[in-house]
Amino acid sequence: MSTPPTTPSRPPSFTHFRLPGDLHFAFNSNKKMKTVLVTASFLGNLDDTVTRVALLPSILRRGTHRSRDMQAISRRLDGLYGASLGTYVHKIGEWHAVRFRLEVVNDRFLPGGRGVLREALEFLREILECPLEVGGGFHPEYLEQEKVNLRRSIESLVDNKSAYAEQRLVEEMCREEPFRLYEQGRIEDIPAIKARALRSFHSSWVRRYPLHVYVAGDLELEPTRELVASAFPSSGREGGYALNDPPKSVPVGARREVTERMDVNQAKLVLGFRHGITFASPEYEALLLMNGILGGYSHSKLFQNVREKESLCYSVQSSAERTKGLLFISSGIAPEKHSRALEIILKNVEAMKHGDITDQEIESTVLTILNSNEMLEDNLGLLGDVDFIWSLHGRQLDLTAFRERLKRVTRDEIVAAARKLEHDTTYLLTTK
Amino acid sequence: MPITPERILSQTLAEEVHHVQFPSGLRVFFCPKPGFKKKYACYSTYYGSVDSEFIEPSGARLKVPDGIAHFLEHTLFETEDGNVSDLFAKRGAYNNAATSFTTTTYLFASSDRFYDNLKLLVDFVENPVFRPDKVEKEKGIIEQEIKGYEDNPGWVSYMGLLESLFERHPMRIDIAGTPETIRLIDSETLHRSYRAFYSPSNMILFVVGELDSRELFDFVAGASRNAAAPAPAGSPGVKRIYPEEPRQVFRREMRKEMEVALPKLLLGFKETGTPASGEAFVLHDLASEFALELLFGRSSDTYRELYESQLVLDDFGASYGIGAGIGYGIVGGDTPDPDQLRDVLLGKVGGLIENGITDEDFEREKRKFIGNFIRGFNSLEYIAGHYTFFRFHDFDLFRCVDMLAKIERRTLEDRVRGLLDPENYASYVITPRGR
Repeated sequence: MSTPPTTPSRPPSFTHFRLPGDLHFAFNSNKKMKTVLVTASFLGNLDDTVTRVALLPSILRRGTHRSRDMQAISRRLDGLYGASLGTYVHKIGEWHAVRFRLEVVNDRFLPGGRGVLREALEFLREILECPLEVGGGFHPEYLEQEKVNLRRSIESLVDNKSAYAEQRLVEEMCREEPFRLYEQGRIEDIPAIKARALRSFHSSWVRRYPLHVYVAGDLELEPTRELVASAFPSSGREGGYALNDPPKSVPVGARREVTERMDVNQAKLVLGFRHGITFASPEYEALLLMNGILGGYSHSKLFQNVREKESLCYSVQSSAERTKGLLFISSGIAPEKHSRALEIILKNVEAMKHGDITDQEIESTVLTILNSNEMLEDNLGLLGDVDFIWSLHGRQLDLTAFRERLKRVTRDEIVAAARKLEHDTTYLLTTK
Repeated sequence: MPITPERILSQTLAEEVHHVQFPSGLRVFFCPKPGFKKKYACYSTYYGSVDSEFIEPSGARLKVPDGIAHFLEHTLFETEDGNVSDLFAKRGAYNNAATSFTTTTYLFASSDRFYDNLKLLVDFVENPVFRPDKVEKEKGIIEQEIKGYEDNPGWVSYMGLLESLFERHPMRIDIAGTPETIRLIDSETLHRSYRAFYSPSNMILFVVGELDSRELFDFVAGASRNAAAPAPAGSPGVKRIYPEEPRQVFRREMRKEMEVALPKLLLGFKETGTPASGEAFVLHDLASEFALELLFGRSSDTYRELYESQLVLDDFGASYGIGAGIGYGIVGGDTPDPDQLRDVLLGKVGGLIENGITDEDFEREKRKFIGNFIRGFNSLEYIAGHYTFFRFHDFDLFRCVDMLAKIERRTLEDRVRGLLDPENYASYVITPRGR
């Protein structure tokens, strides 16, 4: 067992099937996992429905026609050897995704626990499609409670100062674009949501919105496809939802600076840039390298120069948004040093544009990205998430081809990607 | 001399671990994971923030500034060849480190050039450089790390509660120390703490991934100074000093205003004289976690009642911590009414102690607990981290599943009574500023 023969094999990938009713099924069979992971994602446009959509997973978890409260749901999952069900609401560019992630221990590790996956999938369908109803609407009391919880959850964003600062930057920078919306929705929409209207919105959502189901585990394809087809039968799905194309890039207007004051110990500085490079762009790999060299890692320019050389902060990093083509730089700094931090951050961005990049920086970043990309092969949940995003941009995830393209990116292409960076908005959360 | 590792198997988990203890006392473990691209190694010392007072092997008694274990973790990243993160990046690896109350761990993950990276890990942990200018430079960075935590209500309430529960025990002090204590740290104190706690017999190297077992152990034998070091010649080793902790909580109640949207309540219970190692330690730890999940978890009556009366949100939960002779249970979360939540929870605790646990609840939660445990084995980090932690307490992680399967309802009921005392609690409340 300790010395298996190593044969060069192709990296794992998901096999895709298009089923009727806008149902997309993707499957990966592997021996690494002790569990089976099922992710069901409903995808829609980020628009005025944002608050209603964000509320759906919470109200669905309050009860089904068979398991009539959240405790009953939780106990049914426990009985399936601690099957876990997580619900998540994400923003993917200007799309809004609601994801249900179910994980069960593979039958083969359970003494006499046969059929856990089938039962868990049927249960997931029940939660999605057969909510507890009162008079043709959601349970009114549960709904009122979840409306209060949603309001509290939106308000509580401020508890996490980094996340709050990043959302505030996005609201200011993209104030004319759907991207400004917070994935949990808007407080002002909440009072108008009613039990019957939301239930009818839910019926349409569950039948018409595109549904992507990913399954990974030590399983065989055919029985699994049958399980999925019976859990999400085409007879129950209509499809036909008009999903928008990925957003067009927006030109930078007048540069804006926004300062907000609170009683805090540390200031948060967030800078927003536009570059317009997306998953679908030929410059995609150059963008990854540019972001990595600038601030993606602890060997990057920002970490080295803002933290290690100047001791200005503990954390500073850049991240590239790749559906709309944005880039953010965030840091937590001593309030009195924010101008110095801003100056050094911008100096490093300029250095990138002038091609002030060493071979070592490029090489380290290529290796780091390749390394994490290879380790992705062991995490089928994460690999499925990456595959999902690529497929939404009309691209097939091929790890081998990606690695080849990454290695071929030239310094000029990295500099060209950096030159696309246009500084749009600066947001500072600082002391009173 | 060829190295023959001891093999430890788990039929239930379909996993195995190979183990060698070198004459120096260094323990090295390897968990083969055929088919995995990722290779992961962590080098840990049984030394954390609570070990701030000790008697050196030479016999000198030393009290060092708070936060020194964490500072040492930062210091080790600076080598003669530059920052370790840079060096790992050049080899394409991800690296990190973490300091807890009782352990410090240095780790890397890579798919390629594993032995280059392992050599680097072993070298920088075993050959520290204490340059005064680097030590000074690090103070600004750590100060900002601390300041960031000061704005984090979750961390503030957690540490604030421990400060209230414990009167003298160093578990009441923030792992990173305070800006004042870290200013007192110098390279000499760092060096003396290093010598005391980074000795081979106090350390474990854990490696997991698709590797050849023999090659790995041979490599470690050749590359690690700690592996090659001679057996400690009757040296007594370091002796840790923890102050005597009273049974009673130190402070009943603390409140703090912060920039938050909703108040938060944490309610805590303390234990003293908890088991130090072996099966008693692990059973105590797991049974406490299990009992708290049963009482306050998603499937409990308490959670349902509190959630349906809107006194808690879905961040509500409970956890248990143990180490250095003490233990604590914590329960709470965001709430619109912290005082009412505290009273309701204390009432519940009284009832739970009286009424015990039903068989149905017990069996259901046991299934879940075992399922969660098995699920953890999907993650190489989980295996390495948990295996090492339990080994520091002289227990084999693989034995946990069987132990869990055999655990009895009465054990949990005893645990509930031992841990939760409605007369001896502390609470920490965060309220929104200006409201």
